[in-house]
Amino acid sequence: MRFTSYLTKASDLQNKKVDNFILSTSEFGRFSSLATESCFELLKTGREERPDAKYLFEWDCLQTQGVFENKVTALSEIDLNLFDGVRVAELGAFNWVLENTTLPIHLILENGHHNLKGIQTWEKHAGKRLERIVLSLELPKEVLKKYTSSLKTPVELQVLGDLLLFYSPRSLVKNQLSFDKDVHEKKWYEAKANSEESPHRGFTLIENKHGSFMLNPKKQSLLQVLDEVSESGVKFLRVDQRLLSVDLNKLTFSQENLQNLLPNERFIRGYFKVNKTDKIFVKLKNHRLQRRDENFVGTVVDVKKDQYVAIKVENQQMKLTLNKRIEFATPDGKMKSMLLRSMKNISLEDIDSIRDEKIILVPHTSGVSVKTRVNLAEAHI
Amino acid sequence: MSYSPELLAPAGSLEKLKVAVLYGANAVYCGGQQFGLRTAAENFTNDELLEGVEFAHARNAQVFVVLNGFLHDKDLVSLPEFLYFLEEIHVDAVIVSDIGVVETVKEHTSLPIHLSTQASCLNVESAKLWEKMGVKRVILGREASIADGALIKKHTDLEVELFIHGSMCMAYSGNCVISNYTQGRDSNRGGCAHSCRFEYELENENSKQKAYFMSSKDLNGLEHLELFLGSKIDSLKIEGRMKGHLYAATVAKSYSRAIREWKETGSVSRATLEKSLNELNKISHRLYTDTNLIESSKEDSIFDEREQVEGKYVTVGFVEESVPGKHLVIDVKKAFDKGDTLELIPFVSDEVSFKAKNIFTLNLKEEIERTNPGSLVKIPYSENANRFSLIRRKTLEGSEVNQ
Repeated sequence: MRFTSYLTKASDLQNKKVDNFILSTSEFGRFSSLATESCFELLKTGREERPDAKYLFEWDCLQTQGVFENKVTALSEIDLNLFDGVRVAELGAFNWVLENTTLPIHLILENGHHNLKGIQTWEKHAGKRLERIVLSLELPKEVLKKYTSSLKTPVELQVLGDLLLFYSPRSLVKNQLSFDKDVHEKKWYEAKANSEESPHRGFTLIENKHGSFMLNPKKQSLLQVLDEVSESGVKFLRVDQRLLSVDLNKLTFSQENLQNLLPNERFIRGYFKVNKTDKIFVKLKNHRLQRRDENFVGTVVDVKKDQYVAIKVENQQMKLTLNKRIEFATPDGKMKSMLLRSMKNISLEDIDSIRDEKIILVPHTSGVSVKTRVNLAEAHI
Repeated sequence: MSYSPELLAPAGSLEKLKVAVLYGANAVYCGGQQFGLRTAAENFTNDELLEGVEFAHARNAQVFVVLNGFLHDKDLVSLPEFLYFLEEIHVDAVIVSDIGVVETVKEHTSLPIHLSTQASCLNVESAKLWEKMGVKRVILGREASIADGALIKKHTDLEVELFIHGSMCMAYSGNCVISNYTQGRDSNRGGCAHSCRFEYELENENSKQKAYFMSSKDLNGLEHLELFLGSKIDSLKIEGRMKGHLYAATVAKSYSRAIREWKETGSVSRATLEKSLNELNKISHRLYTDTNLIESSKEDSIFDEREQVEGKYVTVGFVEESVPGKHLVIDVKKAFDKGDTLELIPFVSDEVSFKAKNIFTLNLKEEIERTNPGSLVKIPYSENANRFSLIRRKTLEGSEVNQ
């Protein structure tokens, strides 16, 4: 198993289980506080101390046009060729790197991308330049297994780190609370949030130059199931220690070690085992209210007991005439039928067939309520 | 080609589609029973989609169907059948956020593809990539400005659609999974629980306070309409498939009035803007902001208040049938009493105030003192009333405010 992690200080290089180091600067990385100069110093140190490892530049912030132009200007002052590859999350950045560099690309598809066809389309588009695909934490292992076996490109998955719930470009934290002077100088604001309207407590909030972020109260760890992650075909296991308050060189990548280092943190596996977040979409709607039949006439829109049933005619092709039988399908599933002996238009004139009428009145039938669907009985179609 | 701006309105139901078109929208977007993001909206059955397309096309309006959920593999298996149907009924475009769906649409149909705001297309490079992938139009992320839209038009052959009015996601669209982890509902497949509208207690080592810190004010770009039009933004989008009939009518009418004047005179007068703004202030809304249209959001774009339930007016119903000189049949949405002062909202002309002097059952046999929501009643005919004209009345708040 090959671990990928963030290089934030020289001591991180001592963890020999990690052979892919991500270098992320505060200018380009969502959660990085590393200055560009420090990034290049670390890269130099890494090349000297761990020449076996790969060093990857990360550009994972999202950006509107003005910000994008600033990034491109900043990139002109960086020699990207010193890195072994570039990691991109935003599609504008992906396109720019594809067209303006020759470096291998690690495409971060953690947001969305829950179908193989889409992932394969990007894979095909990037061609040989694509070296790695980073997949979503919402994909369960069975899906991962299917994807890794179908993709030509090796796949990376985060196995330890934070769960990002929300990413906004707006300033949402710094003006809400009082922060010390040094916090304002660093432009890195952190706070906790507890929902007043649900039981959820302890969200971590971060605001930095890229915007505001909300993190899940529990951290994500798949360290107990690394064998299963490996079996799913994932080649690169990412550990994002940056917000965990733990030194990378102390991590052995076992859950026991992690829990010892961070006894107060709670960890979850997320959706690796199973993801049921779309079960709710099995429609709760009343299918009896849905219009499916060829013999559909319309819907009951008003009922006056012992006087009339008003039907809104919604199928003008249905030539309803007197002496035909209509059926009422009520919202609670009951069926009623009636031989149409009389029919009035909205001006209360007797009619013998529907022409342009939008609403007709028919004699009252007990048990029929508003939203009842009206069909022509089969034998009369 | 001459520039003809599109006013694109939400259609949460067939009725709302008709309302939006009649009140001036020249395009609407709606969802079928699957594949969209608004599972709580009424959405359209296939029959309703057909009826909606026929209704809109007969009035020179277009219909776009949303397929903008982050679809799973199994969804893509059932998607083609729906796509064939959409093509058969001559839907004008589909709105898509996922590249897998883009490919599926291309493989099975020649339906034009509009990239959903959920894909967070925010810059020229991103737009260029989507253009290569075959989309015809990009609906920019809500963080993009009018100038960004103009620049994307300059550097690509894409059509550009930009939100001009409605509720705003605080997060980059498609980049929020709060509901996934707190409610077990995939927010990018229609399960958004609107956690950003909740109140939170915030704390750090120095302080603590309660705030609706993640809730955004509503977008209102009317004041910048001339800039939209001068920048030749192809489509001006109104958010709100979950909103009611009054919203659909008021917003479509307010913006179409101003666009019509711009088309006729080349500018929008202050009087027209004031008239439209006044109407937009009457519907239920959070405080308005023009955030991002000109410059990036500032702190004042946060709506740090409890959600407002009612506007100054409510819809009491709409005209189901109009028989000139005789009566109006009203589909009652909210109860009103005999003697109440109501306002008819004609499709184009000014609002007409009238008293509900008499209310009858449909067969005129009984006079009604108080109407029931969900029923049909007859009231005397009022000038300028047409089928689907909305009728509203002031709420208590509106009465107080307007006294």
